[in-house]
Amino acid sequence: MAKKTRQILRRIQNVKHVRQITKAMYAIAATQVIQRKRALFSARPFGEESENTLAQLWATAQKQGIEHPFFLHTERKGAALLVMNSDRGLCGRYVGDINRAALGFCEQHGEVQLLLGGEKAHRFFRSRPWPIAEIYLRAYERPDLGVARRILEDLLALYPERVGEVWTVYMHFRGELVQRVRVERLLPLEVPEAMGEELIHEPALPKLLDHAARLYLLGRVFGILLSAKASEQAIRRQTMKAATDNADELIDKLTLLYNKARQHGITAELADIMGGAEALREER
Amino acid sequence: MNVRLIAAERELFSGEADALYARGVEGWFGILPGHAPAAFALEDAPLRIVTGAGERTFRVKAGVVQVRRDGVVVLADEVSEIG
Repeated sequence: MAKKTRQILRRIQNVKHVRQITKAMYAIAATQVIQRKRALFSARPFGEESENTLAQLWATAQKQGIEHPFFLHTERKGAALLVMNSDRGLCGRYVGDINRAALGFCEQHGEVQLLLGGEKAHRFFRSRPWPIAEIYLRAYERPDLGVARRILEDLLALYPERVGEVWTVYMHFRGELVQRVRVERLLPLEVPEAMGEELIHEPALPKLLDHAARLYLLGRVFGILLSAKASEQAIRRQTMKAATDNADELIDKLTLLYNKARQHGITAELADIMGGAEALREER
Repeated sequence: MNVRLIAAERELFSGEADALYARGVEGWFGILPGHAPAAFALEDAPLRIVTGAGERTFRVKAGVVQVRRDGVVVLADEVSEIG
């Protein structure tokens, strides 16, 4: 009996250690969510306004019959896919959802070149048939413009010469409780309809359009990085909260079991003693 | 006129201004209230915003200025305030 109580006690200690870890990870993720969310919201005005400016310039350029490779739908086959996944696990559905969506895209499109963000995406795709053009490992734990620039350069090295389209799969951050996998096209560009009006411009419109399109794309890639990271931390926080709650529940159950076993042991010992005492009395 | 100076990471200035001076690819230019709709690519150079409260200068990298009917928007890869 004593052996059984010791076993239960050991299990309780183990669960308590795990709980300590999940609780600490929950606290870290909760802080990270706040930081990543703040960075994401700070970057939003740039995304919105660069899109407005680009839409305006593109509308004006179209009126003048100017074309730009970033807007052209070419006959070229093949797509590049930027997969934004995590370097670390312990974030619930995050890793699996993104890899599944990326795999679905690859199976549907066939000819795909992969740009993989995060160890989890790399491990998932390294033994699959699609060629890997670039890998970003532990590159955007705290997303900055440097990484966004690097990714954009890599994308523009592929488009429009080697692939006809550029897509991305990432977890869109709608709020702390709502994150959704999104598969979006980055190139050719799609901007909202705008009223093309006469503009004074400097330099010539094609060059200015190129400049504005690159700025917009940088903002877009940076926004995707920030959104992906905010989502990852939000999901990790939810997962760690659930793990901590489960550990609490398990500790309660095990404690009850331990108490029962201990009481059972005491009762059995008492019964032995009383049985012995009774036997001695009868002998006298 | 309303001026907004927005870097990729955050918005650095938003408010009323009397004038804005910057360097485009073809030289220095100024924007005053009532300017016609326009768009300029910026050189890596200081950009000055003159407000009623004084003047603020920013170092702007890879920027675009758009003059709209409702105000001026400056977008740039990186922006930092000088002084």
